Amino acid sequence: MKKIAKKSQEFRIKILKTIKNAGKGHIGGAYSCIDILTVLYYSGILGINKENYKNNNRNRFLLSKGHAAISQYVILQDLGLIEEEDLNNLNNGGILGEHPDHKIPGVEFDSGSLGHGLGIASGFSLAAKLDNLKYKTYVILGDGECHEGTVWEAAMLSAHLKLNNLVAIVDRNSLCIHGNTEHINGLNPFPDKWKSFGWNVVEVDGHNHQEIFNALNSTHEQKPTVVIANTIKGKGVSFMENNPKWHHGGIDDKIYEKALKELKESS
Amino acid sequence: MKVDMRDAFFNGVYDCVKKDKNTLVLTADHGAFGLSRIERDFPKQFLNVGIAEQNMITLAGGLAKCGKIVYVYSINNFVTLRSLEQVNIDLCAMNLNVNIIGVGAGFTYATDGPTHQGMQDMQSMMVLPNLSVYNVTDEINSYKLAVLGHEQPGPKYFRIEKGILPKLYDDESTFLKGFSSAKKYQETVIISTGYMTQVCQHIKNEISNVNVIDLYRVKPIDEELLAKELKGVKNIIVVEECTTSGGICEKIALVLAKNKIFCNFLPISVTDRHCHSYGTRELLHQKYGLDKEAILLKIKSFLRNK
Repeated sequence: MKKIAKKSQEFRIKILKTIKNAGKGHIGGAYSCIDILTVLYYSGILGINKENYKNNNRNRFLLSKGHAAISQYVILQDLGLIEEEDLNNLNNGGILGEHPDHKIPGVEFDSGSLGHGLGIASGFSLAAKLDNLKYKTYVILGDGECHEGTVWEAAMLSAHLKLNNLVAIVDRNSLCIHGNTEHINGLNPFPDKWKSFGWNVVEVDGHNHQEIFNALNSTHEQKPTVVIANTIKGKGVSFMENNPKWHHGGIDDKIYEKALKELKESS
Repeated sequence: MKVDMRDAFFNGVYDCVKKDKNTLVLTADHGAFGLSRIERDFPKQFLNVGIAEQNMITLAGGLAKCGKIVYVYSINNFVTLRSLEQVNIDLCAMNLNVNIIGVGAGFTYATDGPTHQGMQDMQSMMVLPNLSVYNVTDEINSYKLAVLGHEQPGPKYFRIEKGILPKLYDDESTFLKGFSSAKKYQETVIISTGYMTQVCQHIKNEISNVNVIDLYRVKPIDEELLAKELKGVKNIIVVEECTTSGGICEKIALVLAKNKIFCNFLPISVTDRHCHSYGTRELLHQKYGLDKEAILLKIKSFLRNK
């Protein structure tokens, strides 16, 4: 897991550089979920690589909180599914924009509008059941996204259908654009809500790679699993942490140097 | 034997489900006799998702991305207007073979008010890229369009009918062109879609030198072909059972203008409003000017004063 932790930190630096180059981006939400994505892609859970990403029996991954797309792009580039040049052209006429597009190699479905991913994921999971395929589907949701009613429509049906091959991970950074989720439209008691919808619920520190790994392997025989990953928005850069201002923002030279120094020191 | 329009459509779906185990049917707790047969005979290919249309569309998108051909069914407004973004992103942007079946065109649900009247459902779908939009006309094209939904790629919206209606097509008819053609065009042509094509059958017998074109596919329209057929027609009347904005009256007017077809033009639809009236479909047609007599009066006046 140490290697994976190191990789997460390298990705934070890559995200910073890419957003600086693009001028602006969703850095806060990318930093809160990058540890989860790194565990998914590099601990053998997803097992997706350049050779198998189109295989019928591949594990599926969806980033339902599509605004954190940069966290997936840096991984896809590292895996060789997209090029360094694609990252350099983020938001600038290339194949990459602020939200995942299914035309990008390794991206399963368009996302960006919140509240769709869990329903799509349950479609993937149901298809696997119908086809007797063993693949699993993993989907990352934002906690603010769980204000969307369609999340709960999908949660209800997934549990009803006993989709035990479905794992949702909620990036519980507790921040929407305008502040704390509990001040805006309270989600708590959040784990209890999922439990009452019939889900297997596991709560972890969303920046502890071992805990994330263990949780992703704690699936249930009869129920879909939700991992509530308690995270910090902007994690890794002190002045971005827990500051809703960094949901989306521009990175100038001064901010870049300051953030880079912190990230390198903690690598 | 005459078949209910809704059952005719679901008979088509039934045959597709029967021959292809990769075909699935989802309903948001809305029923039909033909649908019950599918549930009874192919329970593994049928799912009632409950009253959750938005999730039904999204789920269908996920299933279709994994290679399934999916039919989804409920009342028009709920699978279109309520689920507009899900249709736009999860089906159209992804260009997946999901067939949306909506019942309740125009004033079908005449006693149920603006929540159930299908007055904007068709237009809302007509603005979405990649989506094909169909109105059924009789039991023949109800069945055949259901089968076409399975065979043709991409997302589609079928605005189906219920009840018994006269046959306008025969077993040899095909439905790839998008509209019915006349062998020889007269000086006046009525273009109509769905149930209004049935109403217009009664009208054409009372006006001389008129043809009725049934525009069973309102999107995409083969503009070049339609323009070619309409060249030289003096009077063009368009009839639809919905509010005017975004419907086929506007669409046909654009085809005529783009193709320099200079003619007298009469659009007939419901003016921009929600209809808070209750009764039979025929009664509401009378109230909002879509019954045979009202349309005849409008056309006769139009032809006199052109």
